[in-house]
Amino acid sequence: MSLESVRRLAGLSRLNLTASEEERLLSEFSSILEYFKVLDRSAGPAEDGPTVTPANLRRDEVGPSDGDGVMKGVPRRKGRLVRAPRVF
Amino acid sequence: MSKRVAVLDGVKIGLEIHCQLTALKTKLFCSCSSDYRDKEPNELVCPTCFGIPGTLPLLNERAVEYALRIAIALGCEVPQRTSFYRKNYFYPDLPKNFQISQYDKAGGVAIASAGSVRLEEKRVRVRRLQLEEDPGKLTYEGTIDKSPYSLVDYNRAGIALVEIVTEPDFESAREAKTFLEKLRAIVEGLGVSDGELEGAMRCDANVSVKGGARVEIKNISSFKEVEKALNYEILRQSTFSGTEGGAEAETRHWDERRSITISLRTKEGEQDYRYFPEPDLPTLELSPEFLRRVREEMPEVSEVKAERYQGEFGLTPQMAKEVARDAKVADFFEEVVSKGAKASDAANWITGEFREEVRTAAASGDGRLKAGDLVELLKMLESKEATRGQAKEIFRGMMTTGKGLAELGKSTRTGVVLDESSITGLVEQVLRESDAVEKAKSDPKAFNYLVGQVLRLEPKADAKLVAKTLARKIKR
Amino acid sequence: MAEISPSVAELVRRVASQEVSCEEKTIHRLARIPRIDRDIHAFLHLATDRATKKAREIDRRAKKGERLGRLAGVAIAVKDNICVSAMPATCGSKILEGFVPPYDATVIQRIEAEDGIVLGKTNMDEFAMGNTTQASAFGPTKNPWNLERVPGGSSGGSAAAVSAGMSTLALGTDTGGSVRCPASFCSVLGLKPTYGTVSRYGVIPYANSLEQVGQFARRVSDLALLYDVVSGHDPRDSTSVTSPKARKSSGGFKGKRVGIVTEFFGEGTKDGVRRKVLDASEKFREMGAKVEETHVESMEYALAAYYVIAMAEASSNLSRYDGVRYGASTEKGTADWNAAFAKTRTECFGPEVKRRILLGSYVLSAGYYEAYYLKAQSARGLLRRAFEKAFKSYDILLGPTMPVLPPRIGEKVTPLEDYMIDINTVPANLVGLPALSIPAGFVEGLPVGMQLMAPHFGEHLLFEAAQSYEDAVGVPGAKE
Repeated sequence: MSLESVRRLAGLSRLNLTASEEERLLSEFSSILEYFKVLDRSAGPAEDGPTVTPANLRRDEVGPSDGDGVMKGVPRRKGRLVRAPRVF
Repeated sequence: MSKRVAVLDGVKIGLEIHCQLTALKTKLFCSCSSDYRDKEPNELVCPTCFGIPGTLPLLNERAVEYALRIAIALGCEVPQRTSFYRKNYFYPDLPKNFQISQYDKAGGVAIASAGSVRLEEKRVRVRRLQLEEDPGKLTYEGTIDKSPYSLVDYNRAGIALVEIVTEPDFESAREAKTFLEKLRAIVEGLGVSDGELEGAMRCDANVSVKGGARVEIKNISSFKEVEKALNYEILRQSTFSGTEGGAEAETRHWDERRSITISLRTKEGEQDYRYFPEPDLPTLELSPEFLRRVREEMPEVSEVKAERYQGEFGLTPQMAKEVARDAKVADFFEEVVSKGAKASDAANWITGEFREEVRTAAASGDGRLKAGDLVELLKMLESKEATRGQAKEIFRGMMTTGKGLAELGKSTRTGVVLDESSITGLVEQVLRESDAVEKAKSDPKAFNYLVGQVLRLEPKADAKLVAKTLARKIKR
Repeated sequence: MAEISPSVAELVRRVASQEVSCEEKTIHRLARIPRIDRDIHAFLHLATDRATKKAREIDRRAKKGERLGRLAGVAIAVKDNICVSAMPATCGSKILEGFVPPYDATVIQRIEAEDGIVLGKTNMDEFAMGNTTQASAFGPTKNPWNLERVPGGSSGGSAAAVSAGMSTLALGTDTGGSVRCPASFCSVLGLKPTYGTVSRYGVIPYANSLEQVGQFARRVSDLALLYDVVSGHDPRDSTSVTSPKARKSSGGFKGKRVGIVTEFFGEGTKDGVRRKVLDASEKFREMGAKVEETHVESMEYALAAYYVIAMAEASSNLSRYDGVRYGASTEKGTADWNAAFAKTRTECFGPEVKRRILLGSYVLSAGYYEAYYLKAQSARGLLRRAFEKAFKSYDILLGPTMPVLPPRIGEKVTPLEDYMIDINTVPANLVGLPALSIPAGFVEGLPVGMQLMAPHFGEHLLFEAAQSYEDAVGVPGAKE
């Protein structure tokens, strides 16, 4: 891993890092990834998770919505709309 | 393809269509109503589709069924197991900042792959189909670039989408548009989506000209805009051809108002999505029994049916389309054929002068149309046990009275007069009494009129023999 | 050590027979908690009104002679990553400050349907990422047995609340040991059930494919009862299973096969811990079980596989915290969405959470996915087969829950050193097995826990073993 990849990951994750944080994380990550290398020796098919059949899925029947309930916790709103930062 | 449209060489277009399964009552992963149009903002949301922590997705069974209908209609391969993946990217309209979608790499299997759609003489390959959730909708105070913030309505968030990805098999904008129209007819015929609804079918495209880089075009909100957007982009890219490097690989945004594509600098690209299996949804098993059930319950779309009639029964494209147009008529046709009638004879009969009556009778579903009887009737015609006129009379009787062939056959004199001397006598009688003889020598209408006169005298007379004799007599 | 408190069944009997007033008892308890918790800091929120109201209702129904639930009047502390409507759910993070879930988790519904009383929400490592409860944005919880030591984590608040007698029962979540570790460090029982047996609906996820809601108690019968109440199929959780009907307890532990797993006594294991656990395992031999040393293969992959998968899932789970729909938002101006999201996330997530988000993004990135994430999944398969093989020969596998004694609060370790102490707890999460930590005694005045593992849906085997052990050594006392 490099400083550049730490910065790239921070960008992808929407986290700002100071230069010293980048340095510290790079050194921590390097030793953790070094440890993860033990996995190189593990061979075999990836674990199959649980499975489900369509019969066990949710039926297409309308249930209650809770617009008012979820909107109560919205930090910033404008009328019934959720106010988010500008995208341009 | 119409040859009148100028087509640039070396144009390759692939499409990504997002089709909402508007026939569903609920969203893809929660029980909120999917009827979100013209609702108050954020009225049809619940903790799940709003991305409230701790909620879990519950897959809509019918969404799987509807996606498979499309897959089957497009001749896709359907895997035994399919799974959901998370596509990770941030955007304010995305409640969880990841989209539950599907993936066909890294161990992922989409719900369908490798289909095709016939477009005139070519086949357009469908790479894959996947089920995924729609994001919410952003609006702005004023314009997107001036608004100090964006406003989000999550009513649309979680609506079930089927993404249909084609190979870059289109060579012109017109071709792409024709495909989209056909696709729309198919999903509507399948009863899974209503393309009429605003935003129900959206399209992204990728375009390259003469081996240049692939350019993605996003935000084409309706099929009407597709042709415009593609033509603009083809023109834009072709101005690069010959210059070094050609067009740049990028994502562009279709600006409907200005009718141009504009460069859209996005931070995240395909390599940044960090796809991985959605841990809250187990892998879905699509058993052969389930697929059979879907297949049995789905309506066959006339476009697809017509293709089958050409292949299976050797009907001409025109005839196949005619028979397949109405599902009930097509069902009747297939029943008649399955009971032993020659497909082309049956198709001719059903789509001929009785077309309207057959459609009405088939729609009534009251048993007036008797496939077995029509088979018999067609056989009588072939073996010359009945004349065309008699057969028509009987068939009309069936459809108006609901009586069967056995009953009607009794009241209609059947049996064909093939005796040449009696026919000659009848022909001579008509020639004597008619004043249209001269006209019949040059006018086929008048000629046919005379044939009809003979048949009125003797309905059992063989029409062909009458025509032959008449022609000889008047030296036509 | 205070007097041994009565069993839940006895408490319920007293309430139902109106020997005690549930309301009075609850009010008394709620008044006592702040005095104890001043030192310990197990609770982030006390649900005084809701608890008293529920208690009053129970008394009223008892008076009318109505049938009461199996947890009638019993106090239950709930980890702060489990949603209870109208109570905050912070997950120990500033980013969820102000968030009040508009719904109840399934486990809460089930507890309240049996008339259990939700006392409040307990402290935890931020988003359950940690094994000390020091990574809470609201300050650490202290170990009731030694206030300079950590209670373990991430469900440290729940374990401490039971250990200090503030709550009879508690719920935690266990993603890589987060119930068993604090149970071990606080000398209480802590169960991580078989994956899929307890609904995750309403549990704010850290790593979905690994975690289960776990239970804390001091008595085995109480633990088994709480597990019985909260478990069972839930149509709101697609990974929920219908567990096969538990076989009736055969009573006693005679003839059972117990494997002491050599790999659970690795090089990081403290001598005192090793001795204490081996001594405790002797009790099983005395009860007539067949106890012997055994090996489980592929254990060397467990810790790495666990962290890769947990971080990967976490990186995606935690994306939703952007300040738009709920929780904290520190951008009050008109920054664009990228800057605004980053500002809130940077200012509100703690360092360990950031570390795991970044590394989780890394192992999912194009080009690294195969080397890390897929490899971790195949290691998971290897481990599953290794445990299947081991359980052909043994009913119970055993080892220390934690290889070390509770660390001092503020002790400086590197992240990797910190992760290493989870080495014995993560295999159960990777394979989905049930595992239980039971108190095995004290070393240097600090609790030591012994971990028992059973095959899938083998909770009854764990309860049986633990009950036999409890019968032999007695109910562990509370530190009050």
